Parts: sequence; C-alpha cells; structure tokens
Amino acid sequence: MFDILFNTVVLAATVRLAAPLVLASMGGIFGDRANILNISLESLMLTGAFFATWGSYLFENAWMGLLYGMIAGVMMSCVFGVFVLHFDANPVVVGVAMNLGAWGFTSLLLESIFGTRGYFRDPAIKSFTAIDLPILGDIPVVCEVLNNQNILVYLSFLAVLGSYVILFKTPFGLRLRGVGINEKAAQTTGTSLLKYRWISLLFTGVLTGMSGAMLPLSGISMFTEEMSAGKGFLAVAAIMIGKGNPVKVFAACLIFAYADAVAINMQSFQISSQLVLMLPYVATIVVLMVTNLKNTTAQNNI
Amino acid sequence: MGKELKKNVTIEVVKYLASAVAVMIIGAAIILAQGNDPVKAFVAIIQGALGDLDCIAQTIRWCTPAMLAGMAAVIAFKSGVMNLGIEGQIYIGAFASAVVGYAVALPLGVHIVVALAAGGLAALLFAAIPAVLKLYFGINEMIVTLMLNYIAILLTEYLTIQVMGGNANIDVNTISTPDVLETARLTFLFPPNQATTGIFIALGVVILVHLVYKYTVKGYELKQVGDNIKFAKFGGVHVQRTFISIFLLSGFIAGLCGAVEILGPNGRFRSSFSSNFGWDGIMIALIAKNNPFAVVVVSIIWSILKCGSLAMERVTDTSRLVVTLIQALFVLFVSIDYGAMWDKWCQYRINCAKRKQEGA
Repeated sequence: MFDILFNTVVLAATVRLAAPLVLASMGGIFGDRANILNISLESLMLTGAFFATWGSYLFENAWMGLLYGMIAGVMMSCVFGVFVLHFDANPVVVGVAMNLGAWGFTSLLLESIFGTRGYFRDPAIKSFTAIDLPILGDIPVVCEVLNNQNILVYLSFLAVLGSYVILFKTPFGLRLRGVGINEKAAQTTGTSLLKYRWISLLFTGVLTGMSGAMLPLSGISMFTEEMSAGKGFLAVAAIMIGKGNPVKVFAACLIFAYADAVAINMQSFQISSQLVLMLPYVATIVVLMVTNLKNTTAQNNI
Repeated sequence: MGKELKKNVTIEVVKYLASAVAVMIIGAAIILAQGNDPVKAFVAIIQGALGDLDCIAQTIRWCTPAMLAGMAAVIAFKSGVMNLGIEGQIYIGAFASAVVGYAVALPLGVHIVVALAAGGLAALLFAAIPAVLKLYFGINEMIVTLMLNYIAILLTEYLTIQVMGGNANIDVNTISTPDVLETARLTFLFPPNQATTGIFIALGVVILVHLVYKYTVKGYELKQVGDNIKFAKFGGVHVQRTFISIFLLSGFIAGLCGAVEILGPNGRFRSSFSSNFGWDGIMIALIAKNNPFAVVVVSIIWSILKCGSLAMERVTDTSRLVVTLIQALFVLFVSIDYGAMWDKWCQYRINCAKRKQEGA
C-alpha cells in the first residue's frame, strides 16, 4: 500500500497530470492579479482541447494542434474580456454562461465537423511524443520522473518561471499587480486599467488554450465531450490557494495532480473507482481548509 | 420617481427583447450553417412543445425540475451567495429520496411526504458543508460548491452500487437503485405522460418564497444581505446566521427538485440521471434576475426549448445542442449591464463634443 504512494510511476504521472493544471493556473494568475475573477478557465480549456484536436487532425501535426488550441483559447478569452471589461457584465455570470456554452459549442462542432457524438478518435490526430533528454536521462530517480515527458510538460515548468519573472521582476508585472491591489491608485500613476486587464486576459487565453491542447495531445489522441472535467475549476482553486503567487500555485497544482495520480494507480486495487476518482476534488477542499486555517479573520470575510 | 421607474422598466423590456432577437439571429445563423431551414426548426420547436396534449404534458414534466432548481438558485443569488453546487445537491436529494422511497414501507399519504422531506434534508446537510467552510475557514463558497458537484455525483454512484450489493463490475449504464414503492410515487397528471403533481410542489415553492420575501422579517433580512451587506450589518442583521440559512434553504429546495424528479418521472435513482438540471436552474435564475415569478416564466420557456429541441432534431435533423448554445448565449446577453453601457455612451458623446469645442 505504501509503495503505491511513492513510486516513480506515480511521481512521473503527477508531473504529467499537473502540466495542464499548471498551464491553466499560470494563465489564470494574470487575471487574478488584475482582480478579475475568472471561472471561465474551464470553457477555455474545453474549447482549446477541441480545436487542438481539430488542428492536429487537419495537419497531422501536434504543433498545429497546439496553435489551434491557443488561438481558440485567445478567442474565448476575448469573449470574456468584451463582456466583462466593456459590457460591465458580472464575471461569475459570464463564466457560468461560457462554461455551459462551451460544452454545447464543442459538442455541436463535434457533430457537425466529425459527425460523431461523445468522442472523436482518428489515427490522423497526432500527439506530442515523449522526449529523451540527454543529461537528465542519466540521473537515476530523477530520470524516471522527469525524463520521457512530452514537450508541454517542460513548457509548463517554463511557464511557472516565466510568470514569476513577469509578475515580480518587470515593470509590466509591477503595474499589473498595482491594478489588482488598488485600481484608483494605479490609475493616478497613469496606468490604463483596460489595457492591463486586456493584456492579462490575453495571457490567460494563450496559456489556458495550451493547457486545453494538452488534454487530447499528450498521448490519448482523442477528444471526448466534457473532456476538461473540472480541471479549469481545479486551476481556479489552485490560484486561490496560492494567492496568485506562481510558485505556491504550482505547489497546489502538484498536490491535486498527485491525488489524481494516486487515484489512477489505486484503480488496479479492490477499491471502488468512484471513491478513488473523488480524491482530487476532496484534496482540493482539504488543501483549501488547511491553507485557510490561520485565517482568523474568517468571520469577517462575508 | 414615477418617471425614473418607467425608464427602468423600459430599459429592462428593451434589454430582454434585444437579447432575444440577438440570440435568435445567432441561432438562425447556426442552423443555416448546418444546412437547415431556421423557420422550419423554429416551427418544429413550438409544435414539439405545445402542439398537442402529449407535448404540453411533456413540457410540464421538464418545467417542474427547472422551476425548482431555478428557485434554489434564486434563494442563493438574491442574497449574493454563489451556490454553484445545485447540481450536486440535486443528486444527493434524489438519492436520499430514492432510498427512503424503496426501503421504508409507510402508509400512502405519509410515505411521499417523508420521501420528499428526506431528499430535501439530505441536500440541506450537503449544502451546509460550503456554508460551514465559508464561515469558519473563509473559503470562497463558489469553488467549494463546484468541487462538491463532482463529489456528489461520484458519491451517489458509489452508494448506489453499495445498495445494489457492492459488485463493482456492473455496466455503468445500469447502475440504479430498486424501484420506488408505489406509495411514494407522485401522481401522474395525464398518464401515460410523465407530467406529475410535482408541478404543484414547484409552484407552491415559488409562491411560498415570494411570500417570505414580501411579508416576513426573515425574508427582508435575506434580501438586505444581498442588496447591501454593510447596511444589513449595521441594521442588526445576524449576517452569519443568515448566510447559513440561505445555504440550507437553497440546498433544501435543490434536494426537493431531485426528490420530485425521482418520485415522479424516474421512479428510481440512476447514476447520472440529471440532464444538467442544476445548471439549467442557475441559468434560469440569472435570466429571471432572482424574481420568483420571472422564474416561472423563464422555466416555461426553458422547458419549451427543451421539449421542442428534441422534436426539432427529429423533424429537421438540426442538432438539439444548438438550443443549449442559444440558452448560454441568452444568459450572456442578459448579463450585459445596459444601464452602465448607456451612461458610458453618453459620457463618450459629451467628451467628443467637448473636444470639438476645444478644437474650434
């Protein structure tokens, strides 16, 4: 029992499963820093996943799939931006509508483009292949965990580093954080709220589109309805837990992914699959509780 | 005052009409793009939903859960509580009522009341989880309820398998509890159609909620917490207690929705029985702007679309998913703050005029 919790297979799966969460939450961090509550990440991921499948199918090339996914993510992000920033709509309402709309939209496209319901599988859909890194491959344990992952996994690490640098080491990041902390103060320094919010939403679109593209293109090479299965919401939870700090958010994503990886490994035992599948969601709530324990002002939060 | 009110009403009416027209144009475009005739599709929807008694009965059948789920959402949203876990609460309520429905033998009149109450109470307890987490840990209720949706669906599936004897190798499509006893079933209005007396329960809930909001102190407090929480606090409203009661009430009605669905048309609990009732309810509440009577109207429209879309699919082979997309778009358009947009536009015009004057 103990070794299924800590063997290299589980750890490698953790890194692999964490990647879409990490990419999506790194995208969401920018919106979070600009004080936009964005639960539409789920819909961005789902449309990203569909268009990535389509792109990969059309060109028989995973990179084109990734590009399609990113474009779809940006388009959806623009819808969110137009409604929230220009039409003054409530972000939560827009998020809910977009999540439901994306489900209808992708399933509708699945029917009208590929003529199937439920899922689409075709040999023409190409996934990203595992990469054998030269130096990393020689280190014993690390090799089994980190080597032979696909390129997007490594990109997700880069995204964490990139977000950290952009947010904390550049003038842009400083102003963006300023917009989130105090709009009026940021405005008095001549920072355009609208511009910074739009840029942050574009970041969200690109990164979340990428994370959506990861779902079909990291091995299974197929699209299924409601493929995102709450991963976008998990990303939002990770952002809340990490309070918008890329490193902490990354850690939260790893915890969720670990719960997921353990769950997948436990399915081979005599444990009911439903209970096992609940693990990541339960883990989210537990981690939220633990990280909020010190929050003595909870009573005043309402 | 009167003039201001009149202006607001005009804005609201224009808003819904504009949204409806915009959505219909987009819907027609999608149907055209699929190579079908939008007019034919529209006629098929209306005929499929209201064409004859069978169709109307079917519309009433779908109207019932939509209305109840909508009311569950209204209770929460009106007080500014984002309960996005209605889907999960429906599952829990449905499962509890199914168990009481088949396992407990009670006399005719009592059984159904007990089964309905069991559904409501189970969901009420389930809805207490996010409320407690918010009060004692300060965790955003939205994210917790979203997670609890997935947990509820999996948990009820697990429990159903346990009820069936704990055999894990069952086909996913056949996971269900035994049939509910006859004494716990709601009466069908027009057999063999699936419309049940559940519609009266739904209407009763609507009227009750309206009366509570309008005539009781508690209802006034609930509204106040949503309108202006600081004012409510200074006015001496016990905000924490109110917050809990909002969640419990919302959960209870969601559970009732699940129970009515099981004791009515379904007759037993199947895993994944709900066709998005919870999310439909949330959309309905958002469109109805948390007005109980508007919920009735919107849920009737919703059920017409639902029944009609099935007919549309048969008659014109336009996918019924078009309707799902249209519903989501409608929510999007209604969410636009037209008043603020109008103010912005006026400000823009003033600025332009000023600039012109300065230029001249």
